[in-house]
Amino acid sequence: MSDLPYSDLFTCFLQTLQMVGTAGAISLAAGLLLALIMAITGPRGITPQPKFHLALGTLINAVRSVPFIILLVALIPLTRLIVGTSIGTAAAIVPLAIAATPYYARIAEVSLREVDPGLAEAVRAMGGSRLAIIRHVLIPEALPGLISGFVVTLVTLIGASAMAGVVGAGGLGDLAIRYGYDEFQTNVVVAVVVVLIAFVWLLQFAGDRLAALVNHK
Amino acid sequence: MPNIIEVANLSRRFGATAAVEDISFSQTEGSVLGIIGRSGAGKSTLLRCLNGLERPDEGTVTIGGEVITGLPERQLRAVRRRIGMIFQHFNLLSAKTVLDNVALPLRLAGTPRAASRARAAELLDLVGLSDKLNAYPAALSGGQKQRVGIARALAPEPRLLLCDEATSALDPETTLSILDLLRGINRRFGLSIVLITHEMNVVRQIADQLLVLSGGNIVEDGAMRDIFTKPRSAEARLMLRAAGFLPEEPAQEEPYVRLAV
Repeated sequence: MSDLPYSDLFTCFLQTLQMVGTAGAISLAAGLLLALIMAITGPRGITPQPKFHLALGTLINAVRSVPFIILLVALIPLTRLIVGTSIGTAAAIVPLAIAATPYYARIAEVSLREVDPGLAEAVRAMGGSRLAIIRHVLIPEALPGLISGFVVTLVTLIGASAMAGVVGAGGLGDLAIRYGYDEFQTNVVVAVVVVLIAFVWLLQFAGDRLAALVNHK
Repeated sequence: MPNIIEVANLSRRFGATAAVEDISFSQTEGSVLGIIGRSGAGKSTLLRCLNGLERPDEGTVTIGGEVITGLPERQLRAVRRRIGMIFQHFNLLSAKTVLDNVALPLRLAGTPRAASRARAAELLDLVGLSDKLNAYPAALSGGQKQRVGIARALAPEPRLLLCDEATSALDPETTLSILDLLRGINRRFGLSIVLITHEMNVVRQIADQLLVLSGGNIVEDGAMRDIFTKPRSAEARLMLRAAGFLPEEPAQEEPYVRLAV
């Protein structure tokens, strides 16, 4: 048994944090936008557009069905275009964000769809526009579910970020594979797993607390 | 008194079925109009045509002298701001406090936050809920929720209030207190009220004029007293008898009165 490579562990944790944080923020904004478009154009939405809804839904499903490891490689040209390089932590953020966006969009869409249509009708009846319905009804009423769903997305991103080692992005998953698996240092694997468990637990705890705080149902 | 509502030859179809078929009636400003019918009679569709939530296929709706049928959505929103509406399941926003629920229609109309809240507080006082301003709707009873609904509907000072089965989810005692409140507001502010319901008991408490709806058609239109004492349509007789306002008739005249047993 060797000593734990503490400074590597810390660096890799920061890399994971950077990947998950940035990709998470992008997927939150883009996924929520997609989810809103899906929810309002759906059959029970405030502005049904069946053909558009079907087309966008098919696109979301298509991206979601590509395994992440394939997406990671397939998106290399796009990554190079956006980040300037296809290798490194920043480069991994592009495929991570693109994988997480449709994932979060689906979760958020379910929460938005579950909002009682009677509430949208009440705001329409008081002369509210569609934008007012989105702002005063859809988002605040679905907020607890939107928060819980975002935590699920973040945890999935942590898992996916382990594969980003393939493009030299580093991160905790990569550390576990390089030291632990390739060099038989089991204690490094254990340390990585412990850090990940604590990280996920903390995220889940904070997310649950926040969701409960905004839930007045 | 001029008419607050004039409806002429109104039809609304969903696919092949007509929810409302060739309906015409008018309502005097300041009166309470009850529209009664069983489920599926077209009450809800008719009510939603009155504030443009439903667009009729034919006919015209005139509210306070202004024809609202065919108006573009933007102008319809302005019309809806002047028409209050309350609902069977209250439809209060769970994420907003009682005060902010009542202030919302004013906020949507561009009134500043402080002024909206001040007016909302006045209205909550009017409906007897001045101690619940900062509560969330989930903490209220059904009757209290409907009082918030009424305060919210009154916030923009409408001339017309539409009530969609507003007491159907409430117990009999609470129903009476809500109807009292509506009657009081009607008398005090001269607010015209349209109330749809399937309960004869409800219209008896409050309506001046009564429309009986069946299969998307008006089968009777008259003063509430007249219809209760001398119903002309079979539908009105049936509903009155079911509610215990008319005695049983011999079976050979009305073979289907056994419903009331």
